[in-house]
Amino acid sequence: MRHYDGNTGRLARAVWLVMAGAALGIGPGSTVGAATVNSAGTSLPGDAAPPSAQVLTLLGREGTYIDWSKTVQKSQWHPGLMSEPLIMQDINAEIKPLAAERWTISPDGRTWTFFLRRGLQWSDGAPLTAEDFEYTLKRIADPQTGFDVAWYFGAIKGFTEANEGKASVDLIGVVTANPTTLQITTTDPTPYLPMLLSDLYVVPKHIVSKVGDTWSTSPATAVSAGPFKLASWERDRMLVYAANPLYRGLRKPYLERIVYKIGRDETLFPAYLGGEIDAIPWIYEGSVSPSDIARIQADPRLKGESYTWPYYQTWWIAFGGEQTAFKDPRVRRAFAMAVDRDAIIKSVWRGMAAPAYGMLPPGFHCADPARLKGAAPFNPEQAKRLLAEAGYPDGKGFPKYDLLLRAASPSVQTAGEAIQAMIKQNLGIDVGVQNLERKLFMDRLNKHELPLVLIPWEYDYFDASNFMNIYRTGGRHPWSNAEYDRLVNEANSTMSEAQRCATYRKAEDVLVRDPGAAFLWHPTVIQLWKPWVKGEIQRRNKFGIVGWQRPSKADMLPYIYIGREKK
Amino acid sequence: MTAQAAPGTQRLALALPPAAAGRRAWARRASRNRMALAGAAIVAILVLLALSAPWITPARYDRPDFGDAWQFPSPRHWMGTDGVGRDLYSRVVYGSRVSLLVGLTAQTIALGVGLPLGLSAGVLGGRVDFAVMRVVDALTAFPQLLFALLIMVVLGSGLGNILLAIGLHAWIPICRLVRAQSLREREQEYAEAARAQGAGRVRIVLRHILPNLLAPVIVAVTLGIPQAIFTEAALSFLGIGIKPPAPSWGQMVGEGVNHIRFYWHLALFPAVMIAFTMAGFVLLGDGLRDVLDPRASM
Repeated sequence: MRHYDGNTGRLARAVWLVMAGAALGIGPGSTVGAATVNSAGTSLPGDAAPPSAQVLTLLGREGTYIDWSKTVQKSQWHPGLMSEPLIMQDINAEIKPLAAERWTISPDGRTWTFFLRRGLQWSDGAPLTAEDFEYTLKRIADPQTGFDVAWYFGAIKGFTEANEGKASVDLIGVVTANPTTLQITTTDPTPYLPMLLSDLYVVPKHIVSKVGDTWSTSPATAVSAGPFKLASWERDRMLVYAANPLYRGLRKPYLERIVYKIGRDETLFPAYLGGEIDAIPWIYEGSVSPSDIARIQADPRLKGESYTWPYYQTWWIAFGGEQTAFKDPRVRRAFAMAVDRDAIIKSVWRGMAAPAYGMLPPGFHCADPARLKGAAPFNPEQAKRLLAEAGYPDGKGFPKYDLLLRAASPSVQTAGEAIQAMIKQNLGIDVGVQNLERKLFMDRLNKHELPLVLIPWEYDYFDASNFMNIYRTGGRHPWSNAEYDRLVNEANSTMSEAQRCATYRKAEDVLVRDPGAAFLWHPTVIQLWKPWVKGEIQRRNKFGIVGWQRPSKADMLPYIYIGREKK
Repeated sequence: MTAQAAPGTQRLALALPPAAAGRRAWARRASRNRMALAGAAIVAILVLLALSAPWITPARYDRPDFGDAWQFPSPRHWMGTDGVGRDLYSRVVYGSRVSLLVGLTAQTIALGVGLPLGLSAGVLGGRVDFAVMRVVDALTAFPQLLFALLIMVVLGSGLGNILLAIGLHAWIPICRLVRAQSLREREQEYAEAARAQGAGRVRIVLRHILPNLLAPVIVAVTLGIPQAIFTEAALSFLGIGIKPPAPSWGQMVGEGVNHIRFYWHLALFPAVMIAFTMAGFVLLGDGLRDVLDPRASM
């Protein structure tokens, strides 16, 4: 039985400061010598601006809810601001206790018991209990909820059956033993369960069961268990989050307010240049376009405010199933070998990407991409030969397909055009390029109706299963391989780390050599923030990266503050 | 009061001394003719570009050169290159083919539909007139671009669908014009004279009415070309028209706009071409109207 203990250093420090303040007869918001305490009870660092100036302004897309347990695709970013997952990932992608103080695993590796930190509460004063977590998981499993990435929690016992409507949600492996003890049972031993739970955004049972799905859309009902709470939400204009004074967890925020303006991607860079926003932390490729990158590289000041780092995301071409010409592995291989990754990276991405030879990005859990470099190299002659062997010499008689993109940014569309040109040039096949609306694309993708897609996957948690699982039979893509399924399932429930990685790599070999996809590139993230945006984002992590990790999930926002430099 | 004042002023203008009125008209015509010549020159250049595209461009419009992407204008690439290293000058020159093809074909469709429908409505009158005009009324309710957008959303992108989407709406002004003109011509004395001499309906339409309609119809068709070209450019700009790598100016502007803050050349050159083409055809159409249909410009 293993046992984890909480790192309570930050909390202890904060508590000490509050107590010291109280001992001196000074409440929150006042100054103790040089240390200033904000309204959430956090003492600000010495170089921080006063609490009234602790406002971070961002700009991004708008969601329908602030509820990642209702929908991921249509939710507002930053689920972690108003929710308190059991576990969090730190800047080294390691798991740390959050709402759960500690946890234990049964000897068979299937039953996990989480012990909640005492005193946790919602912003209306109601206690945050194990029942809220149980309710949240059952709500996610309930097909009525329509949660869009339900497979994510498929490791939990009975979850998939309940989600498919074949069994009652009450039978899934989640039990409240007492208000501070939660038990989760998995079908197989699942060593990465804590990683999964770092994205379980608990909802308030006492509100949601009364108000329904719209609970998160208005400050009146959107109670928060996280470091911030919803102060206002003006549709199409902005959301404002304020520090939650009733927050009792580990992530005491420095910021008083987060102002999240709603806007289109194209407005991000001009807004940053004009000083309307403090940062562009987003990691998706449309947030900073290639021409913006050219501008940044040409301007020393902007260059100094930019942060680039390799991202755990892989882009690939996925193929249709049995009804398409791609049922023949030689056709898939021909496509994979007809695309020149290096040329796309050099031209479209201006060098801001690394070539992908397999699924797991360099530096990621269990990744060893070098061994796959020769597995499906760019080789137009061999590609042409393979296509001829499959019955389509010089592309003759090949069905007409469109390369489909999912609500792609202009750069990804350009990448699509580059692939189109390469397929034409090297295989003699005309493919169209078509950009589909996100929901339409996902609905059809999940039904395996799309013959040819250019699509990314990015990590949610630092574990190879996060990538490997999606290619299992019945997953996101129609490709099906029994050997692959067997290897991934085996690795998923292996408790020995070295053995797991060896098995995942064998599975990745099958996927790349068959091939199930044409792996293309891993993007390099470029983020911008003004010199006065400070805190944990300035720290170099164990992978040597200075970056704003998981920016859409708010992991780092509680640890960010505004420096004195801001005028 | 104003309603009564308007005819009065018109009479006043007509009452000017004949010599002065003639001089003014002459001066106006001369300057208009200069503009019309400029328009004709622009159109001629466009046609020349379209015809000689393969011989005056360094590369095919869809040929990428990945090592040469994102280039600013230079002696090697007069208008620079795009994100996959396609020569923008080549794309712009080949783009004239797409624009001219769309403009001419759409107006041919418009003429092919609008002329017979307008004629039959005007000459036959009665139920035919009623039916045609109700269709015209219904379609007039949609602006051309909105109508084309709807059609494209239903049919999907592609050159053929664009021609259809534009042509299906562009016949309306021609149909209305032909109907109105033929209604008027029908009652003219020469038509009456022909009828008195025992000429049949078909003969009157073909021999007498149609030739008199030709001038205003040619003007209308010419002026419809820039509108069709602009509609295609707008559709492609919005991403539902002609797809890359086909060289549509509108689509090039649409892609280039994303990069305009740094790679200004990507949107600028095709946008200038759209503007020039529009100006060329409009000036030419106005000039033609002056020459062929002096009544309309009075």
